Amino acid sequence: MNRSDFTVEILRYELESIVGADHVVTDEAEMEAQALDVWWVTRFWRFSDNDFPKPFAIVFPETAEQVSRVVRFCNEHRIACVPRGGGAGDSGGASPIRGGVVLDMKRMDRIVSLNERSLTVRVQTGIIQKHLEEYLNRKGYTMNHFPASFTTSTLGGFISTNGTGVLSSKYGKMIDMVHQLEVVLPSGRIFKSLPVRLHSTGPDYSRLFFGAEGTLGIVTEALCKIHPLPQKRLFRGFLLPGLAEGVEAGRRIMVNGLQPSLMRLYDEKDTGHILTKQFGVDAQGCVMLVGFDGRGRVVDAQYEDAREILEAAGARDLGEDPGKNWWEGRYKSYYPPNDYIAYPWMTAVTDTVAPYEDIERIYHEMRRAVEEGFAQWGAQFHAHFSHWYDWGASFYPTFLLKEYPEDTREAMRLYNRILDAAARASVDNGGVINEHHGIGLRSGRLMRLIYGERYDLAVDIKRALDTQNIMNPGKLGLGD
Amino acid sequence: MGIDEIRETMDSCKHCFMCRHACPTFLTTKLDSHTPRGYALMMAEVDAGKLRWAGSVADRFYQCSQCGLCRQDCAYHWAEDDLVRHGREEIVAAGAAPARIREIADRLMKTGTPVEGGSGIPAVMRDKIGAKGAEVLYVAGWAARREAPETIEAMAKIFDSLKVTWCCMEDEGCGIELLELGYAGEARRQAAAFVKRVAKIAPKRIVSSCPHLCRALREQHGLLGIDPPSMPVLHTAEFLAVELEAGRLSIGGGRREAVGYHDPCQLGRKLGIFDEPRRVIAAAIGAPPLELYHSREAAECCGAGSVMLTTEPDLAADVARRRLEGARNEGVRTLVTACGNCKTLMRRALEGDGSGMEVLDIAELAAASLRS
Repeated sequence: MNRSDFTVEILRYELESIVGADHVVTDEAEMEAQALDVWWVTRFWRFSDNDFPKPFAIVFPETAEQVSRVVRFCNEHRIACVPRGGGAGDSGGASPIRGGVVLDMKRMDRIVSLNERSLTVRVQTGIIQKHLEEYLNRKGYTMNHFPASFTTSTLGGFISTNGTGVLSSKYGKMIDMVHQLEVVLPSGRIFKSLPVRLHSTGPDYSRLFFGAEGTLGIVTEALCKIHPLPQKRLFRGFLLPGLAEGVEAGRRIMVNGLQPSLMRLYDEKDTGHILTKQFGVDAQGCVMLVGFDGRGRVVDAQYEDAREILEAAGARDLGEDPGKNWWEGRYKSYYPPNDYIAYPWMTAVTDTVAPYEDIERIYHEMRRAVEEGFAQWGAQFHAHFSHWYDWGASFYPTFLLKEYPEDTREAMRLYNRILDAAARASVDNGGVINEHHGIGLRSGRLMRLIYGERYDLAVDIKRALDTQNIMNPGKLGLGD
Repeated sequence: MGIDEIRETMDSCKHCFMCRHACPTFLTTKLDSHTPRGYALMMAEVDAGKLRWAGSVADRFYQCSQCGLCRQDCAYHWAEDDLVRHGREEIVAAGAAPARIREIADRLMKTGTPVEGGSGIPAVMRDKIGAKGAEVLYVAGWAARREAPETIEAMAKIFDSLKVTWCCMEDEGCGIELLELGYAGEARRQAAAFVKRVAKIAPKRIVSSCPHLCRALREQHGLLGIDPPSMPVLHTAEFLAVELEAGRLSIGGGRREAVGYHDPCQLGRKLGIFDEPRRVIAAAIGAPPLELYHSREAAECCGAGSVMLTTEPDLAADVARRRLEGARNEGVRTLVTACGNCKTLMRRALEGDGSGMEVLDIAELAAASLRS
């Protein structure tokens, strides 16, 4: 936005009249602190002595009505409006690339109500997930949503990226965890979806907003599913002869109707790293961690069946320590020094989901595309399969370059080329890039590759709802 | 001094969002510039010449209570609280300390206390100032002297019941506040003068109601090159626990319902003193205190630390209200603490809220349940 200081001051006053003067922040400290997420490109750009786009104001609303008024204000003045939750994404999704107003949602963290009969909690979406979980734990419940950024990201951020936690094989993605949404639409109107989503009264319109990253509106409240704290959590580690045996064992566990809450199959490279580092074991193969939770007898029975399947696949039982230690220390690797993703190493994840008949081939093709295609840079590739269904699975690959061109633009080009090659390997082999960390700026250009002409529908919806393209412009490949 | 001593922490924390959920100032303001990552990032930008220690950047660095909950939460315990202190040293060295900080630092240098008019001398202390040959040197702390003399009266009652002779100092300035505000040189001078005064009094024990002072004498004076005192330094909670276990202190019968304990950051997380206050409370009321969800190492700060009680009274009170609301929601009606700063701030935060909640120092609880 190119406006004079006078205009900015006038606009600022208008925003203050909506949320209060204390809740419109334009100072240097906050602008600097917000101008960074965990995307490698953002960090590389910023730490290469470049400036990063900043909004003209950061606004902290407290109610949906205030959000609505701010959005209407942005519409009237054709100002970009960027919702921000934790701001800890890895795709530039909350970057205000057109300046404008950032709507920081973290003051909207009120727990509205708890329903212990239907097992739901109604909550404003600016709440940090860990705080919501702590509240539920004190009451004897859990949401069972434990993604990497559990301690720092907001419920709204998870809804807007359709996030996935480590227990998703049993409890699903965010879209499976929410009954009802309240959304401030780009017009400023407040939309509340029907109280339940399992209905046949026309489409479930709330689905539009899961994974929309604020491009179609701002999610302000959600009615979420909750579960009683499990009577028992059981974890176990197994070593399988290879990836193929691991994938097949995982498939058999899922298609036989077992419900592991945790199933993480590490490829050989990841396995070598984990076994050596965490257990001091020098062995070949692929580690699979499994976990079951719920009522004690059900957990034990399900685990026994899973163990039979794993042993039939040639698995060696590593005992309970690998799984238990992983569960207890599951966030440790995200604190610095993160030994696999430490900046300035160039890293990215290219999650992929596909049916069982394709998933293993995609893994090998993607690995080849990265390691062989970028051998001159010593590109490394490692992955684990962490979200399993009765029709397919999702794997979580990471590429890593310890060296890359010094020139900022050359380095960023290389980053994008690797990402493109990995995505192409997925799409060409029947996979779908599964960016539950966010599409944002990082993968927007890949949306046409992934969707093809189907994406015209997304563009039509965007144009219909956001007539002035003010809502988080430039994200999700929906144009600037 | 400054960035060079904390560079590794800065370079690690500037990338990391993980501990944000724990930061009491952030939870009150919701500003990223109030998070450990925000501080590290701003410091790195100053170091890179892209930011200056000025305006809002310098301001934010004085809005951290250095409670250390971020360090506790961190899987690798990066010393973010120390990072803030080093940042303040840089700010002071750059002549960029905000005016309110300069004013308070000036007062500390002149009077040993951060408040206008000094800490005062409560009546119960008057004939104890400089008393010769006393067994215990009791250092109440400026907040207790100025805002909560009932804590000192309680300690006087306990000393008397134990037949322990005690004395006080008029000037209790030990340099810790100056160190926390980034004035390391002045802190060193004040700490050295404090130690000299103590040596002159030569008590057998130092007992203090101020966890900041206890930590200063036990740990932080060492950072300034000052040797610790030759006699034991006990916080009142430790003193009471020692006397209780030795059978000299007889308390009980002060039964109250819904008593919780707030672990002061300096006493708990920093000095590792968790059990002694709980034992004293249990003896006084006949039952262990209610354990808050965030307690012991994970206790949330009340906002008073690192001189924020004085430098940022409104923000600190907001932080305290959050802590008090949490305790109230967990069923606490009487919150016991063991720090004059905590008590002062929490009491201010309760003013006019109509909740009926009460905040007591542990000495008050013990004194009220003394058996004759």
